[in-house]
Amino acid sequence: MTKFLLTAAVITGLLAALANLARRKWLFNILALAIQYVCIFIVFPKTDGFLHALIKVIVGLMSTLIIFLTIQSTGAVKREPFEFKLSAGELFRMLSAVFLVTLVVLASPWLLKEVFPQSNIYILILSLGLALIGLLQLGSKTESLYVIIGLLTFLSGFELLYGSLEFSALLEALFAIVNLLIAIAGAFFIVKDLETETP
Amino acid sequence: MINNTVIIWILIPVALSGILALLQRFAKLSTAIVLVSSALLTVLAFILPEDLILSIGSRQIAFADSLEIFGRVLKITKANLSLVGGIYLCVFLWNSLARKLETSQWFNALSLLIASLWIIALAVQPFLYASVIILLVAVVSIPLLSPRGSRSGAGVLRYVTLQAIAMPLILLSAWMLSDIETAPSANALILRATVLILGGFAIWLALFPVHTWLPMVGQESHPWTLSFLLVVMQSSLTVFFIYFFEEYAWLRNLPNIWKILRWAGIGTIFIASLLLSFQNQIRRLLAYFYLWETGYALLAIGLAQDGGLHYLPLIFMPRILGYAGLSYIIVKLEHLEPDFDGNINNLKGFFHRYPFLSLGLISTLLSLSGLPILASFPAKRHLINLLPWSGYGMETWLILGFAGALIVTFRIIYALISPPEEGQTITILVPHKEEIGIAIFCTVLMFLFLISGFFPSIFSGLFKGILAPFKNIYLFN
Repeated sequence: MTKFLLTAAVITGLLAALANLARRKWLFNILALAIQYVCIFIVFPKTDGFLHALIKVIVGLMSTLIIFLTIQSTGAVKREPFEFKLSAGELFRMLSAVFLVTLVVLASPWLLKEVFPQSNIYILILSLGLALIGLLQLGSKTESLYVIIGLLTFLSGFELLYGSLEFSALLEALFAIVNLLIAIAGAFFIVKDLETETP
Repeated sequence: MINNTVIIWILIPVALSGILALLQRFAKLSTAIVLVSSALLTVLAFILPEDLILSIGSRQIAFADSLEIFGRVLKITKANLSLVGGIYLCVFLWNSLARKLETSQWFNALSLLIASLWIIALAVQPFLYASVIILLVAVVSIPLLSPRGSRSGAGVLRYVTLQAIAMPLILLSAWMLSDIETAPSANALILRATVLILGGFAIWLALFPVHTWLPMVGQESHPWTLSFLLVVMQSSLTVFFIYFFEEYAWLRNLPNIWKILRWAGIGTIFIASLLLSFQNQIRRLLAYFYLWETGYALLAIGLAQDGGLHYLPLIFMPRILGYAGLSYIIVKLEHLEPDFDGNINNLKGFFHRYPFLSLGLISTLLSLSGLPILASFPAKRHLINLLPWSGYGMETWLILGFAGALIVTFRIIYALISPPEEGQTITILVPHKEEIGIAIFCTVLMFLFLISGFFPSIFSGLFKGILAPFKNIYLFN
């Protein structure tokens, strides 16, 4: 049961990140970001209890909520009808991400044995997958909303990996502050762009 | 209760920045608070004696030098106070003109916060946790670099992104280092940790090819704000980099590591100079001179075992003066000439209209380029003299690097003294529109350039203590 839950969380988390990378529908992206954080909560090591994993998911969901509320209250990003058809760019980003995730899945057993023996295979696949998809998003998008989502994805992947290696209360507090400030910076960019667009 | 160095130089400034954020609309009040507090912090940092006991009349106040937060220790000893004083000196200098130069209304609050964050980065133990603080500095800088009323620039986003990418590299190296300590002969671990540390620092220091955010931010952001962020970042990161070599014997004993650093420094100087020589936008000069100065800082670290580090304190004040001068003059030129598009070639006739600003600009560029009798010359000359014989290799690249900075300087001088294109004659020889403040600033600046050039020890004495925490780095084994 646990293995099934962990596998499902890893797959869902990666699919959410993949959806964020490929599509540009803000509501869909925000939802995918929230799902990503829930999956991280499931996979996060719980050797010291649920508290650390709970902090991660609360901070993550709060960051998501900050961005969601900003967009909703300002109407900064237009709501467009959802389309299943993928554009060439979306297809390219999706295929690149699939390629990266495949590499991660293939390399993870070796990485687990040689570099990160304290971690486990689920954490390694999800964390490295999220970090790489986040990096891909940072490199392929320039709109501030999507760059911020990319940053949050990248950082959440790294935090998951680091959480399996070492625990420090100070570091966890700093990560929480960084995540929230990045989300606030995202909200700041959204409002600012709207102000400069409006005559 | 408050006689603790961490409370005085970190917690109080952080609390003050919170208060200043609430007072941001009261320009005079918030400026007065930040000026008084940063001046006090600077003076106290420089006058506090070695034993951290301050005598006022018959009273003696002993200062504790560490504080535990979340199970980790923040520590500011006397050895760190020179840099702390230097950082708050920058806060004081930049805030004294910030409102006049129309920077963001958050500048007072955020400059104090950013200064205290850099000090946290240098005080936290284990010091590798500083990597998250450095990312925090980048995020906190966003409202300053991209204030409301302007469109979000791609440069700021790229800056934050690159800082976020650097952070995991350093943190993972920290985790690997704990294994190296238990198995010091583990070559694979040493190689991985070295790659991660050098990669992380290359991104932090904006070395080629991850320097691209610098000219972008230079173009998008207010020059006065940017120069503050760059001067504090460069000084802190340089010292932080030296900490690694101080702490880890395996790193400083790696074969060819010093040679690699020297070549990285010379390569950075050359690339910065090449980019400078082709540059047309005056705002981007600040970004490329930052890169150029980073090259010299790396060269000084690379020459650490030959005594190169001794010239790092010598370069601090010239750098502060150079960045402040360049950014002030750019802001003033843009204010006085609203039609000026920032293109160097459109500076024609400016010397006759704005003689003080033009002379200030020329002397700043010549000083940053390291020309004799000006501020940067002594440190740069000493560093070049320390270079080991490399069959003309390093010397050739360094000369080419020097040439690029001179090319842009002389291009600007040529543009400034050329007559304006309309009419091709100098019709207005009487300077106009230049306020008395500009004349005073530029005169004092040129005077300080000359004083620093002739008597470098005057200011280097202030920052001499920056190297006090470092003893192991000079050891060969």
